[in-house]
Amino acid sequence: MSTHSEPIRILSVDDHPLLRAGVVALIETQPDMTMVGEATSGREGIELFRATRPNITLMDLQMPDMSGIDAIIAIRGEFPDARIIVLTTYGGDVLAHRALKAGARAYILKGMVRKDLLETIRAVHTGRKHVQTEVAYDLADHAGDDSLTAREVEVLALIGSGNSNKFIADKLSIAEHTVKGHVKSILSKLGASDRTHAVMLGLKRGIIQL
Amino acid sequence: MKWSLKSSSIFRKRSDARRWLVIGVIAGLASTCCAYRAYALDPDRTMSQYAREQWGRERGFPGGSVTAITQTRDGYLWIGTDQGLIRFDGVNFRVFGQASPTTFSIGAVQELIADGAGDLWILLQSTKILRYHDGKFELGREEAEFGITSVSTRKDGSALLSSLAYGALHYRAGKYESLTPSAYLASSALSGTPELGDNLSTRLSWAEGVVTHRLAEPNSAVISMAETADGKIWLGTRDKGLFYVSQARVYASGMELPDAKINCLLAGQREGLWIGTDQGMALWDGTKISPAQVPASLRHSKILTMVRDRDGNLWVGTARGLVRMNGDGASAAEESPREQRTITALFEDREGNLWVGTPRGVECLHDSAFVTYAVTSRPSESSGPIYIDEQERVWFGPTEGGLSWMRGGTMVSVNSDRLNQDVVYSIAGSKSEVWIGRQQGGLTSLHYVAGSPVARTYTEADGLAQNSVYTVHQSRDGSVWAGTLSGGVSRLKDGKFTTYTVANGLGGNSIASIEDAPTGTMWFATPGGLSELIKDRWRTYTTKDGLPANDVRCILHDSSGVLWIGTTGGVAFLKASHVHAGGGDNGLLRETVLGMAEDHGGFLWIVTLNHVLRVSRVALLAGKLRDEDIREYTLSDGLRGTEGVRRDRSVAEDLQGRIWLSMNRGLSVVVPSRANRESVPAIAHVETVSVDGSPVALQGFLRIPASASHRRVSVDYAGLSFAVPDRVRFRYRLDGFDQGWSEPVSSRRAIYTNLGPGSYRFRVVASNSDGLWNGSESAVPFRIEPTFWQARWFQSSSVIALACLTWLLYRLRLYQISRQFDIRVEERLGERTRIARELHDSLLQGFQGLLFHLQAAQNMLPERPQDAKRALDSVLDQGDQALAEARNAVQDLRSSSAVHDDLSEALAVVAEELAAQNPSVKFRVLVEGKARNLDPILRDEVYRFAREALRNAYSHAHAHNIEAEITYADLRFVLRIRDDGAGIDPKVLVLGSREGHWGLPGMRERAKKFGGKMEVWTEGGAGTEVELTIPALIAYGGPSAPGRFLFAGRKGAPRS
Repeated sequence: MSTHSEPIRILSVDDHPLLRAGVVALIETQPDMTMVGEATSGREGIELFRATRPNITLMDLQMPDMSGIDAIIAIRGEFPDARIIVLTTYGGDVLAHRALKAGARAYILKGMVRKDLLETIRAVHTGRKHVQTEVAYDLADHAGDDSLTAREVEVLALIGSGNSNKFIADKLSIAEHTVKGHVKSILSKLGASDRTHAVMLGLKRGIIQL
Repeated sequence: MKWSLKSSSIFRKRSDARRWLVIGVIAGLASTCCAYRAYALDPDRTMSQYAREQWGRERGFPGGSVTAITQTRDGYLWIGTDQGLIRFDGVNFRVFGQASPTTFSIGAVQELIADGAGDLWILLQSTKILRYHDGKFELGREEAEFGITSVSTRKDGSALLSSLAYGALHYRAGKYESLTPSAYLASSALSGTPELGDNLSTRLSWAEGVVTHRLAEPNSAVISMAETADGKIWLGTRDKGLFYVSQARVYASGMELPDAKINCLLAGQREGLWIGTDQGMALWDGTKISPAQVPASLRHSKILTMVRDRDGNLWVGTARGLVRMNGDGASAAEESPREQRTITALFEDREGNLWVGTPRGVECLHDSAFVTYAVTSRPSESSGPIYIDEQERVWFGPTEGGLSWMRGGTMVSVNSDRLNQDVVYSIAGSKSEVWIGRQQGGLTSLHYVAGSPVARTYTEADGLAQNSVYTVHQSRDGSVWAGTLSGGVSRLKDGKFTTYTVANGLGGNSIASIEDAPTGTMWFATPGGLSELIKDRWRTYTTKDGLPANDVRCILHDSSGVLWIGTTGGVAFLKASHVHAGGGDNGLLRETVLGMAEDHGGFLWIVTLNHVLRVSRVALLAGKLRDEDIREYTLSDGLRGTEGVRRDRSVAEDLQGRIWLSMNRGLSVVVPSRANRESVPAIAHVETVSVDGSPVALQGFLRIPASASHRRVSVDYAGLSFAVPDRVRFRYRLDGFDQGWSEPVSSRRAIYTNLGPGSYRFRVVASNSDGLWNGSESAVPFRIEPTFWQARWFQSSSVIALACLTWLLYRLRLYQISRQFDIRVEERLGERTRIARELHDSLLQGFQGLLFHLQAAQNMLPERPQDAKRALDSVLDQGDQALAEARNAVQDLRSSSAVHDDLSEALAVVAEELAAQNPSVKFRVLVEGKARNLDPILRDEVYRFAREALRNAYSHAHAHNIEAEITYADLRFVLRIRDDGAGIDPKVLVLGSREGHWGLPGMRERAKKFGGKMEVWTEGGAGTEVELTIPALIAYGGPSAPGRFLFAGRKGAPRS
C-alpha cells in the first residue's frame, strides 16, 4: 500500500442507492482512495466520467436506461485507457466475457468483494487485470461453447419475462416459427431441456439479466 | 247318355254292363292337373278320359271370344280374341293393348300364327298385320301394310299372307314376296266391278286410294289358306269357294263343296286337303272330293277350325262342339248336347296339349298318366286284389265282397259259388283258369266253358289248411299254392293238398304272398320273414339277413331273376341268396310296401301305404338312387287316391304291358311307355324386374340408377309348361348375393331387399309339369349403380379424409395441451423472473450495500472507533431502509397473489393501505365502460403500475384528491392516475428515479415491456396525470382469446 502517491480517484456507477452508499462508505475508509462521483445510470456515468476523469470506474451492469456494458464501450471509445471494474450482482461467463471484451479490466461480484474490492481497485490501478476465481471458472467452463446470436439472446430474454412464442414473434416482428427455430437453437446451444431451464441457464451464465 | 258320332265297340259293350256298375271316368275331375309327355293325346282314350282345364273370366281370362291360339318359340301361348291380344304363361293372362314401341292400339285379333323364324304374326280385324319379335311389335310394311285377310304358314315354316290387293304373299328373309305376281295385273286388267261384301267394303275403304276398287284374284277376301304336299297353296274365300295357286297363277278349284264359304283348310297327312266350310266338311284326296272319309256327323256341320295333332288325331272345331277323328272314327268331346259350344280355335302346343278356343275362354285337353276307373258305387271304392287273364279281363275283388272283371270299360260280376257273398282275398290263374282265395269259402277255381264260368271250390274238408285263403299262386309246374290267413300254406297238386307250416320251417303261418322261379324255387312272404323252399329245403330270411323288417307284405320275381321284397320297413331284394336293402335313405321307399310290378321300360311300379312310385330298377339294384330315379304320382296324374290296398297282388301288368294299380279309390291303369317318355322341359323366363314397385325396362343391359331409396328389387318370372302349370316349380339364385340355388318354390316372384351397389345376375330354372328340372335357365344380369357415397372413390377418399381429420384433431389437441402447458410455464417463468428481479432490486442490493457499510465500519476498527460507530449508525439506518424495501417487495409478492379480478377494487385496497400515511387524501376510482377481463399477467403488471403511480401520488404529490380512472374501451384499455398535488419536478420527470423505486422512467419501461404506453402530464401546483394505454388486442387477450378457451379448459390456469 502506498500512502505517498495521489489517492485513487474513483467513480461509482450504480442505480441502487443503498449499494452506492455502501461502496462510498467503504472507499471513504481508505486514505489512498477517494470517491469523485456517483452516477445512478450508465448515461450519467459517462457524463460524470468526462467530468471527473476518474482513475477507476466501478460499473454496475444492470441499470435502467443503459446497460453497464454499453456504458463501458462508450467510455472506452472516448477514453481508451479508462480503467473500469465491473461490479455486479450477476455471475455468468457470457456477461463476464462480454464485459471483459468491452474493455473492463476486472470483473467482480458484489456479493464476493467485501474484502477484495479495495485490493482489486488497487491492482487495476497499477495496470493489472483481475477476474474473480468463480467467474474465471465459469469462463473456462464454457470457453468452447457456441455463443448465442444477438437475436437468440433477445428471444431468450423475452422467454425469461414469461412471453409466449407468439408474443415474442409479435414483439420482434418475426414469424412464430422463426421464434420456434430460435428457441430450438437456444435449447441446443445451452444444453437446456426446456424453456425454463434455458432461462435459468441464461440468467446463471449472464446471457440475460433480470 | 253319351253323345256319340260313331258308336264304338266300347260303348256297345258298356250297355251290357250298365246294370252292374257305372263307368266313372274320372281322370282330371278331382284335379285339373296332369302330367305331360311330348306326345299328343292318347288316341286310344275315350274323349272323356282326357284331363281338361278351362279358363274363363272367373279364372282371370280377360274376356272376349277367342279367334286364334298359337305358341311362340319362347314358349308363351298367345290368344287372339275379338277384343285384343293376350299372352298366357299357364297362370297369368297378360293383355297387350298397345303395339309397343308404337302407340298403335291392337284391337280385335283375327288370326295368329308363329312362323319358323320365331316371329308372331298377328292379323287384326282391321286387316292390318303386326309382327311381334323380341318384345317389339312391328307394323306390316309395303304390300302387307293393309288389306290382309288371312295368315298361315307354309310347309317350310315361313309366313303366308293373303292380301286383297296383291294376292298371296309370303315373308322370307325379311321381305314380302308375291306368289302370284300376275294376279294383281290380271285383276286390274279385268274389266268389271269387283264384288265386295258389304262389311268388307266398309273395312276396305283404305283401298280407294290404292287400287280403285279392284282386288287381286280370286277377287274376294281369302279367309283360309293351306299348302299341300304337292306344293299347291289353297285359298279359301269367304264367298267364292276354293282356289289354289300353282305356277304363280290362281286357279279356281272347281270342286263341289258343301258351301262357298271356306272357313278352314288343313293339308292332309300325306296328300289331300281337309276343307271346312260353313255347311260341312269335305276331303279332297288329291284327285277328287272323297265324301266317304268324312264322318256323317261332320258332313253338314259348320266347320270353324281344324288341327292335326302329332299322334294323327284330327281335331275339328264346329259350331256345335269339338270332334276327334282318328282311325277309330269320330268322337265328340261333349257328353251331351247341353254341353255343346262353338269351337272357334284349336292349337296343339309343343308339349302335345290341345288348346281349344271358345267364345268364352280357352280350354286345355291333355292326357294324364293314369286312367282311373271307379269300380264300385259303394262307399268303399277299393278294388282289392287284381288279376289280368289272357283274355284281357281285369279281375278284381272289391274289399266289400264279390268278384268282378272288367274289359274295355265293361264290368261283369261273377256270382258262382256264392262269391258275391264272400270277400275275395286273392286272385291268380293261368290260361283259362282263375283261382280265387276267399275270406271264408276256401279256394275256388273258375273255368270258362263256352263263355260261362264253371266253379269248383276247395275247403278244409278237401285238405286245405284253412278256409281263409289270403293268397293264391299258381306255380310254373301247375300246382296251386294257397297261403292261408293263419294256417300255413297248402299246395294243391294233382287234386291233393300238402300243407306246410312253421313246423316245416316256414317263417310264419300267415302267408301274405307267394312267388316261384323257373328253377322251381318257391318263396313265401310271412310276418316272420321271407321263406324260401328249394327242393324240400326251407330257409327263412329275416332282418338278420338284411331285411328292413321281418313282416314281408309282397314279393315280386322280376324278369331278370331278382326277387323284390316289399316289407313293412321298405323295399329290399334277394339276389344270389343275399338280401339287399333297396331304398337307401329315401323315405318313400321305407314305407310299408303293398304292391309291386315291373314294366318293360326298366321301372318298378311300387305302391306303398300312401304313395305311388315309379322307380328305376337299375338304380335300385345299384343302391344309388338319384332324385330323377324316383317319380311319384299324385292325384294330378289321374289317380283318385294314392293309398294302396292290403291285398296280395294289388299291382299287376297286363299282356299289353300296361300296369294296373288297385287302389283304395278305384282301379288305375297307366301305359308305361307313354309315362316313361322324355318330358318336354319347361321354358323359364324372367318377365319383369321391378325396383321399389316400378318395373324397369328389360331391354339391353339393366342398369338400376343410383338412389338412396333402392330397398326392394323384385323379379317376376314364369316357367312355361302348360300341362300342369300348378306343378311348375322354380329355383333361383342371384349371383352376387345368394350363395346357392333356392329351394324349389311355386312363387313366381323373388324379392330382394337392401341390395348394395354392384353387378348381379338373376338366374331361374323351372321344373316342368312332370317335376323334372330339365329346362335351361333364364338369366337377367343387372347392375345397381352406386350412389356417389357408395362409389369406391368416394368411400376411399372419405376414409382418407376421416384419417386426416383424426390426425388433425390429434395434432390440434396436442398443440393445445402443449400450448396450455407453455402458457403455464411462461406464466411461472415470468413470475419467477419477477420475484428474482424484486429480490435483486431490493433485498440483494440493499444487503450488498449494507455489507459494504459494515466492511467500511470494520475497516475503521479498532483505529477509529468513533468513525466506526458513525458508520455503524449509518448501517443501521441503511438496514432499516433495506428492511422497508424488502417488506415492500414481500408485500408486492403477497398482494400480487391476492389481486382481485376487479382492478378497481384492487386499487381501492392499495389506496386504503397508502392512506395510512396520508389520511387526509381523498381517493376514488372511476370505471368507464363495461369491465372486461384483462389478461391475468397483464392485470398484475397493470396493478403494479397503478400501485407505483398511486404510491408516487401519495408519497410525493402532497395531493388532496387522488383519482384512478379505468376505461375499458373497445380499442384500448386506459388507466389514468391523477392528483391535484404539487406536480413533478421536471428534472425528476426526465431523470425519473426517485430513491428506492422504479421512478417514472422505470414505469415507462415497464409499460413498454408489457405493450402499453405511458404518458405523463404535470404542472407545478396543478397536479399530475399518469396515463397508461394498452391496445385492446393485448389488454383483453385479443381475438385469439376465445379460441384459447375453446379447448384448453384454461380455467384457473394463470394462478389461483
